[in-house]
Amino acid sequence: MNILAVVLLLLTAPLSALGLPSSPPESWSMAGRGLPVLAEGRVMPLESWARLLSFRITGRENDSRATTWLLELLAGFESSPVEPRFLVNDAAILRAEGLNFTDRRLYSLEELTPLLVPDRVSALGLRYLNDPTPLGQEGLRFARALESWLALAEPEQSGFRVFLARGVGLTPLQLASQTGRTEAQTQNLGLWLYWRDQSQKGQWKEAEQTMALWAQRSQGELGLVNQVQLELLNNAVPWVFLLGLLALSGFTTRWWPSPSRNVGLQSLVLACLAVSTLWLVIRMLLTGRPPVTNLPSTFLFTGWLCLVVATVLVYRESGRGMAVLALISGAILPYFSGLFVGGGDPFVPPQAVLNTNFWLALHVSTVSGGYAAVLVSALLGHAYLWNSSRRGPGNLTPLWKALTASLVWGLSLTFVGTLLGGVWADQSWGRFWGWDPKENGALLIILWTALVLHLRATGWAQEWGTAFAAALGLSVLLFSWMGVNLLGQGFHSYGATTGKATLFFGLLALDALFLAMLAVRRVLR
Amino acid sequence: MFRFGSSKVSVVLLALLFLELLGGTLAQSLWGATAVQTTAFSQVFFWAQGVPLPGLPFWLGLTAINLSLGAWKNLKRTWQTAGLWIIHLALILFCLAGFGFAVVQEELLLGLPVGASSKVAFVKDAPQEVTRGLPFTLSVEAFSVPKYPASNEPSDYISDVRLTGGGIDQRARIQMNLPLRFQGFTIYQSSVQTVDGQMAPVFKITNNAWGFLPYALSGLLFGGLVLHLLLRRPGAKK
Repeated sequence: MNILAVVLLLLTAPLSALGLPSSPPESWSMAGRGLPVLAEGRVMPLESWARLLSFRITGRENDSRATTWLLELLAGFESSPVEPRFLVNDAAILRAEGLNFTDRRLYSLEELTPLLVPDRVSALGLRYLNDPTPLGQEGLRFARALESWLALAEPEQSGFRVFLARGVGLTPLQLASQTGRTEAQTQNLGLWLYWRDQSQKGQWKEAEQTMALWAQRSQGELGLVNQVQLELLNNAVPWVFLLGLLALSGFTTRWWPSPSRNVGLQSLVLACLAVSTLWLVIRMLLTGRPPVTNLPSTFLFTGWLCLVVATVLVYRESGRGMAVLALISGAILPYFSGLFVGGGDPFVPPQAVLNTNFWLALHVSTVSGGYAAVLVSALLGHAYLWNSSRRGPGNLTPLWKALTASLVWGLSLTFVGTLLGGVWADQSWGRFWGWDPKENGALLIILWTALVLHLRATGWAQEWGTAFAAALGLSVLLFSWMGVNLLGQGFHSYGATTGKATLFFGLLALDALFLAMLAVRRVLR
Repeated sequence: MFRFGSSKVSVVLLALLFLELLGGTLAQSLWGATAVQTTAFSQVFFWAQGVPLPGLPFWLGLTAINLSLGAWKNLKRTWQTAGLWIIHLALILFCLAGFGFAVVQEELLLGLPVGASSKVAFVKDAPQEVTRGLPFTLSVEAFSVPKYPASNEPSDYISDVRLTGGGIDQRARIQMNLPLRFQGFTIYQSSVQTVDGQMAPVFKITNNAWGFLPYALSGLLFGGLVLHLLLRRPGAKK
């Protein structure tokens, strides 16, 4: 056996018992965050992979400690056996496995040791594979988390590769045992071994420099410098950033002195639009696809459309209230994108059935435009009812006009988008229409919007009633957009994730309560 | 009779369509997508707990009548309303096509392991096993499921097939999203099954002579919308 492989195996042994220094400085992990890694079907910076694993195992999103944690594991530092790290949302799953725990969220490695055997993890995954109940979905998620952990413990089985030389993705262990290495491979292997050695000795500065050189060389050799930097930039601008800008715009609108108010609002709307555009551009560059291809990306794209509307309205100074509504939509929608990312990777390669471009992109872009217009109409409906309850009728003409216009746009775009979806389905799946829950959802939006417009046309509802029906459209939209993906049925259940039903029904209940309150208030008046 | 063409009846029909579709979609989560697709969504009347209820084709048929009468009664016969006439015509035909397809559409499924051949396929969602003969014999010569690197997620499903019979002998490839069109039939990669521990492709086969209709109607509707917007634009000749 190659001597280097033996050396590497020895170095992989748990090192905490040797009294090694812990808590490396932040700069140590920062140097390694851009190391290209081949995992989960694509090349990504190590930081993205660390966050993905941390999300799966601990449930923490955008974990800032994830990179350090993963590098410590790769450097051979043993994970603390008593630290509660494994997320289990329902202890019934553990009790079914003979582990008698009461309900809590996190469990330690030590507590889950009996389960951490490949055969038991496989059996766990198979047990919940076709179980659509919340318990089944959580069981499957937990099994996948355990698989990820086992894969870390045995990187040879995981498919994880660190790119060490052009065109070759090998783990360090594979490279160490490989004969006939190229010069570049030998150099990179040397860097890897040196980095581990320095890290284990606590010589953080030297290890940091070695890792920086290794990451830089790997990116350069593979021509991945731009790709890695773009994804790191994407990681650095989380959704909260947009929320911060939104809060600032609220402050601007409310409290800034009148003359400079518009300038402030305009700047902040533009800043939000710039961030949103950046996300979409990065998405297109990294995936090599149009901006909308799956459920999470529809939230980003629709949010971006709302921000475009907000920008136009703010610059036309024709309706600050409407602009703020569009702004709020644009800033909040990307949050839902994060919620529905399957497996935690926003740039996950598409399922085979979605691995098309033209008709899919045309369908999803158009239907997202329709969703954006229906969303704006529903929010305008809320604004109309709210203003009407506070000020009574009058001064609501601009709102009313915007509401009807957005309803007409919503109906047209959703209809055309749905027809385009039929073309895509026919080309890919062999039928134009199949009464799949997601297809039904799009048709529900069309029927509801047409109903609202006809209510006014027949005279059965006046402006207030029509605005109320348009506001109810928010629930129809939420059901069609997110709710049907939570049903766990049909071709489109690929977007479903665990634990989102509570949020979904919470939003519906909150909206129903708000609308009921406004209706009661009107009746009492 | 023309009262049935009023927009108030349209509102009632839209509401009924909405409610049945919403109820059916929720029912899909309880009883499965197919159970509702083959009853409430495709039968003029269906039985629910021993009670006969109108299915979506019933409401679609009534909506087509409502739209026809409403257009005839309410739309002016002028050049200015040409776009609206086309839109209504397309919608009426869509309702009728929806009614027709829901009642008569038939899809076939055929699962074949590598090395196997078949001249028949099975009717999809049939309550019992029903087969239909094919004018050719379909054989699977090879099947592969390439995966994304460092992942267990399939990136494609690829079948190399052979079609024989009636004086033809042709080899072809069927991939996910790249169906094979042959003698009026379209053969799609639908799913996979395991036969004797080996993965085997399952094809969906359609032979719908009216398959062009949704495309034609979509084009008609889109054309009507564009024409209506052009005629309604500010400055358009009245």
